[in-house]
Amino acid sequence: MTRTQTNRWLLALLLLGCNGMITAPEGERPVPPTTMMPTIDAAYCETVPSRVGAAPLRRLTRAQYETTALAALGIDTLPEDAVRRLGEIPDGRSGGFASTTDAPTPEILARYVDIAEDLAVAWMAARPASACDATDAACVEREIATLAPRLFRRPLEVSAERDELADYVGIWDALRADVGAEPALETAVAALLASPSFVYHAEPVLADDATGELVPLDPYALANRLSFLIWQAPPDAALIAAASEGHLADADGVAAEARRMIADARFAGTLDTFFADWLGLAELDGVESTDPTFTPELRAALRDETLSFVRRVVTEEDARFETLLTAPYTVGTPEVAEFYGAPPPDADGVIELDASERSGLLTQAGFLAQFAVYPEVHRGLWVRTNLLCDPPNPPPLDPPPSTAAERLSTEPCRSCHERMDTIGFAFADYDIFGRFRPELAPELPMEPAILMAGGRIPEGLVGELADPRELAERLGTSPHVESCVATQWYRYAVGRAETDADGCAVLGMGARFTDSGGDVRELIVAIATSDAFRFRSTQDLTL
Amino acid sequence: MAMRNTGTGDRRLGRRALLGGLGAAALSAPFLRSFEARAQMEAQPKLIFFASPNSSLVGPTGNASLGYSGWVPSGLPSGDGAAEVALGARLPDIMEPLAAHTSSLLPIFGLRGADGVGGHQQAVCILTGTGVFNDEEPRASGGDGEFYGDGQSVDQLIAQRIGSRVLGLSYDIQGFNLGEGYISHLAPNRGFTPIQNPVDAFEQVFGEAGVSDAERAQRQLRRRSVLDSITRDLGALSRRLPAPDAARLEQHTESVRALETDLVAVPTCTGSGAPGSYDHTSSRNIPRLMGDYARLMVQSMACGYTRVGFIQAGNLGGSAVPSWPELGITTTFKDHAINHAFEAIGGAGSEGLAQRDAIPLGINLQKAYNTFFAGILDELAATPDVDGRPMLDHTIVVHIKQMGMNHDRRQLLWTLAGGGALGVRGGRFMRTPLTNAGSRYVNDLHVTLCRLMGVTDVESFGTASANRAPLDLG
Repeated sequence: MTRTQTNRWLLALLLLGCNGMITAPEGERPVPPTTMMPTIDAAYCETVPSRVGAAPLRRLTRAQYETTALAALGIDTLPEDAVRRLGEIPDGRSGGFASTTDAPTPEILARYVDIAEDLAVAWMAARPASACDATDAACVEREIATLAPRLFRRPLEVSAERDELADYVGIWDALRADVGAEPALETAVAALLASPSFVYHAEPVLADDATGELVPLDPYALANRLSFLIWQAPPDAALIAAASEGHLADADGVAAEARRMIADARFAGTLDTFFADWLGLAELDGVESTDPTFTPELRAALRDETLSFVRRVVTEEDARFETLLTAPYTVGTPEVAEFYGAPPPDADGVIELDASERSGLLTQAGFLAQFAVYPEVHRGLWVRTNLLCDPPNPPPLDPPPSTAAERLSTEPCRSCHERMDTIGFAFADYDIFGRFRPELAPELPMEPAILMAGGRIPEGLVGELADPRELAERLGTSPHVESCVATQWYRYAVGRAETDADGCAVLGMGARFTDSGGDVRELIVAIATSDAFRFRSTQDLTL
Repeated sequence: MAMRNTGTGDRRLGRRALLGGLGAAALSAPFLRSFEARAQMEAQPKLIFFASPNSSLVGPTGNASLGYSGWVPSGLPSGDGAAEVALGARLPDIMEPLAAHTSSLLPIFGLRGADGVGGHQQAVCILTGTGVFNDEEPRASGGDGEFYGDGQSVDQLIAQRIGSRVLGLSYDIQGFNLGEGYISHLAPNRGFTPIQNPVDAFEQVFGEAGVSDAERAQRQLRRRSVLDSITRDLGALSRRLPAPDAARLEQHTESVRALETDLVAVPTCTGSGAPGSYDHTSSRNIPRLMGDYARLMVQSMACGYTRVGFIQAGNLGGSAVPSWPELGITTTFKDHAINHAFEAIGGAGSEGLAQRDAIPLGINLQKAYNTFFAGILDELAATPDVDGRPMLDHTIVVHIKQMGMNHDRRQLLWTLAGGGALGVRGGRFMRTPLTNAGSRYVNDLHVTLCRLMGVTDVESFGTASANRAPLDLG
């Protein structure tokens, strides 16, 4: 499966353009979505104890399944059959990011078992000739004892109720006479890979240590949350050791691990995943185009450009959100430089851009070119939703075709569109592919501006905007926007949308992000060390 | 298909999807009964849905001067009341690919989908006869927006009641219009995912070719120990996790039971014509994929693997670019855009395609879908059932769509074919009343299909108020 359900915005609007809000009764005005920004303020939060929203059981996403399986099995790529079958296990979405909470239906479970068998075959094939003899029980025990904790991301259970290692060695033992020792070992490995302990983000708690409305996560569950937050990959030996030795028991210990992990090259895994999902980069593949120069290769290069740029800013430059939004350079191939009409990249791939034309992420084609239909609406909607955390109501059923002037002068269109289109107008000098073509810019019925409900201008953000650079500068230094970005990262971190119970926690993360000068790394540390990340709600303990 | 030499588990008996939510005991007995019935050489009724995206482009619509009327058979009385006309030598032009099956065709025009559900949203309701299940995190709040029907779908109900399973085969349903991928439902809000590639579909029904009985038995043994291990781990995990998590794991356990049941219950099938290797995710290859699916579906029914199935030409929002020059259509626009433009429902959907240009595209697109539909009928007509008659006589095939005239849930044009031995009289075109007062919902057809499939005690299906009376198809 090549297409994921990644960017919701263009799709959502195309669909909404047909339907109105999906669950709205026919002929009725859709119910507005709840606002995404916490209405809770700092003064209120000082008076209440820490809380956290309910955390539903999630499965590994497809990407997480792949990184975890590859790391545990010590193989470089998934077998072809496994790739195809994994493509049939859809990722759900929650909070804007891939996250699957449904239990597998029989047909989805069948795919998991198939893939487990495929991977077990690949693992057997990759065993070196010097590997131990599968007819020897000690050998099998050693193999399982090595593989299982990697796949389950925790030590194996040995208790009065269960000896997990013995159970898996038992699979081999029960089968070997009938099917042979090696196939029996392969089956035991397939059972590990099909296990719910591998497939789920299991998050047990230390129930005896509950205080107030919070109950701490089991240290290995916390280690898993950390590693998937910071790496999109399973914990390494050092992190498991930190969990085992009790170093994750307090916020300082978690902060130390988080900083170590952010300095690791695997941090790129999470930057790629977060920014690709957040910006909707996968949508580039699906943009319909009659322009033969907007080739699949160019689309891929433009997607890689955005991710390379983010990696550079966050891991080699100042990591500030403002820099992501305002940098007058990017990172890419000679084709990318040519697309922007810029000189070729230097040895590091850095492309210097004309600062009067380009300013950070929102002026990169990876963002701009997703919105071929009504670009001013959809570009503005994206900013409205993902940077201002103030999405407008969905459109009514079957909105008629309209010009920008009509939308901004007619009710009920105007009240929503004035908050989207006016931001989108700031990008009027770019064509639908994101090329800088001011000579083709349409005449605008209103000046570009940031407005919120009732024509309100959010604190710290100006109203009218001269150009995208000014938009980026305002957004890049606004505490309001930093709070919104913190909200998005929190959703990514916990795999769900925030609830009221998370409100104060999210507010605190935004404040720490602002205090750090908008340092993305510090935001991640703030999330990792928060109560909301390290604890579950006591409400999760009861049905 | 690499790396199979050491045995990868059961390719023949193990790859059985299906049968959600049913316990082992409930299933094995009906299966046995169905085999006994086969042994008595009594042909069993069978049902296949073929779902193609968007609407049938019935018109006139949009600009009246461009309005299209080639879908109407000659001789159909005008007006909005119930009517019927024999299908003559010349079919409505979008049905031309079905000409060889005229005597078994029964197009029904005028049924409507669920009240309170818009045209595109009907996809999840057309087989459930319900509204949509309303618990989704809105897309604007970052949810996936994926949604499902609010009941069990008629294919699943029938399969459950007759002790069979649903075989669902589709082109890529993911990643386009959310809520337009899942037509089949195990239960409210629980979509049934069809198999979306021909290789897995073939293996699921027939297993890997050239496997000896001894090897098959070994694979079954191994697959069983994996399933046993999953069950044991689910139990252990449930004890370690908080109660709400454990409740979710119970559904997982039910899925394991369904696979275990299948491991013992399925008959042995031998297929021919294993699909070759091609990019099954490319729109370009949909005609080939639909041909493979038609063969596979009919073979699976011929061998008793299933009696209820559906073939879906992708996400019903129309994610594919239907550029199939061999079927007379070449375009760079998606099905979705062609529909919008044909029906002059502009705005975001039509993507700049003019209605004048969309009409010939739309007509050829419907012909292409009817060509795929005809492919299923051809296979059924050419395959003898256990009583020696063509399988088509014992199989009802229904071409369904989520929208009717003007991108609406009303005035659907669905086409039945086959089922002559079951009492379906083809060779005619039916119109059900188009007025609000006299209108009939798809629910009435679903009740009818239940009865024709031998599930005779179904009085009502889906939303109660959308039931009038079974349709008289004889």
